[in-house]
Amino acid sequence: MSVENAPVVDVDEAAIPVEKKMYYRFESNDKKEFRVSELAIQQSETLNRLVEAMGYTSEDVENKPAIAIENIDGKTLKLVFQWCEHHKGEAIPVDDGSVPKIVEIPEFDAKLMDIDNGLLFKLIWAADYLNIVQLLNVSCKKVANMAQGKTPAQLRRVYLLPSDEEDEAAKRAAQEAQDPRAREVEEEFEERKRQGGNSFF
Amino acid sequence: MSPPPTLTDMPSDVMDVILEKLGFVAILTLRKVCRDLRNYIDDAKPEFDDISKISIDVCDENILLEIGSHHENTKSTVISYSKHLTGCLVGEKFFEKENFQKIFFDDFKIIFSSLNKFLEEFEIGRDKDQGRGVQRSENILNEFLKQFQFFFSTKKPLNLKKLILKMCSASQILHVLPSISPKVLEEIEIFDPSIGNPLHYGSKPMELEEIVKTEQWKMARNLKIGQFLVTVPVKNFLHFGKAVAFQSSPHFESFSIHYDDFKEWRSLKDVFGAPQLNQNIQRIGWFFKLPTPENTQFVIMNNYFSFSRHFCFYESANSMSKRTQLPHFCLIPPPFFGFYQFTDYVYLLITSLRFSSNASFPVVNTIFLFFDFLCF
Repeated sequence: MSVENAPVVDVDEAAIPVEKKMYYRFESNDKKEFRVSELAIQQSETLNRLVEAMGYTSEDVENKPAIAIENIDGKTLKLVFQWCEHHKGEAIPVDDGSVPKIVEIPEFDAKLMDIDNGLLFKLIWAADYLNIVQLLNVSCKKVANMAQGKTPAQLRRVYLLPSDEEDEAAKRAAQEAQDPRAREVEEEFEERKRQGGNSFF
Repeated sequence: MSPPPTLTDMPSDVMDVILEKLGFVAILTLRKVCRDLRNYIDDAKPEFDDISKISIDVCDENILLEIGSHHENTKSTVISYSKHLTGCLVGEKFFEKENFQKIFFDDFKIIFSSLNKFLEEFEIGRDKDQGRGVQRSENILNEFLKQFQFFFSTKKPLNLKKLILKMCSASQILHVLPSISPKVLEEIEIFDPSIGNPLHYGSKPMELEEIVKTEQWKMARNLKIGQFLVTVPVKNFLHFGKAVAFQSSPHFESFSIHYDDFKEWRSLKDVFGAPQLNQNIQRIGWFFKLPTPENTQFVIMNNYFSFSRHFCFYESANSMSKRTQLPHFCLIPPPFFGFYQFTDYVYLLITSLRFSSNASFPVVNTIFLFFDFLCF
């Protein structure tokens, strides 16, 4: 168990009441463990509800197994909790649709998200799953920024997407793997269409 | 190990957050990336609130769509839809057995269904083409304009401030005008795209009778008609140099004639005397002070337009101060009148004419075909 992955929680013991020192242990799907302060957890609506429902005491946290987050890996979860720790205590933006949201990416977030696109999408997925509104905002903003001024071909590379042709080829390959006759039938169909037949039958 | 997730693996609420931040240019580009995204975007119908300007240029074998944006990261984008032997090309992408007009109109519908703010500027018309495809371009433009009118017949009128029409027939203009909301419209510009195309000197004068009746026309505060033909024998022009009737008009501040390779240059000399050099603008021409309180001047000078065999006549009036006194119609600076000279006729070409309401042009009356409505 790599506890060293856990972000250090700076808590001034004298200034903050005992309850605020509360932290929780979480475990990623690849068994990495994180210790996260209660205040940081509040950034995630999902986790906040979860810990509220569990009602753990400090002793429970130590004695019971870490709370498993089964569909997020350690690398992603580390970024998520780093973000939560940095932004703990900040107000969570409410989307009432009245003002157009202009999102600016703070320096800390920009550095945190200086990662490859695969990981960035994992982070976005995690932010969505854990319902961390502001993290979702800044990470989507980053993805949107990546698209500016690009051609479709460039975007395809940036977002690692297949073109229609590749997509088609992949579908065909998958179909063929399933049913080797599918291709033949399709070709025959195409051939008939070329010959002017309106329908296959 | 599974491959890293990509944009298309994102749940729809995430996609919506991303689309909201993209701006329409990136959204339209994204739509062309792959099938999944195209389907998603067409279903999600994101709102484009960052479009400031749309310009549509129709040619016989392609359509250019230019979109300007308020978005912080985008300036403007141009998408070309063009015909291909076995299909069509949109930007760099090839669509087999597809018609470029159809694909363009699909995009058009997406953009216009999603506009939720007013446009600063909307330009539509036939491109200034050099070749012989004029008739085909006209047909494609007509076809598009019909679809345009049909599309808006079931929708709220388009809110925009400035409308630029590059077309030369009244019926084409009448396809567009009713779809524009007269409340927001401030400025209309009309240009005949055939001007400058030597193969197409036979352009017909535009008939504006129906157009001037539209609400849009009446509500617009500025109007500019440009490169617009009226056929007039050259003698009809020359005599108003003598008449100098415009000098008595209080609305003109200055007046000038630009010419180039004008055959009847001699007769101009007879009319106006020897040309002089104007030190301020470093041009040779004729300059006259007009006897008005504003100490305006009348100028005839060397042409600086690049067309050959082109003769043009320039006029401007500063009437900002007078606008308040005149109830309906007066000149707003600077109108531009011009001549196009061919063997038998001089085509009077109004390269730019702006006016708002209620002015009278005693001189122009004699030569401009549409002058009647200028005086109402």
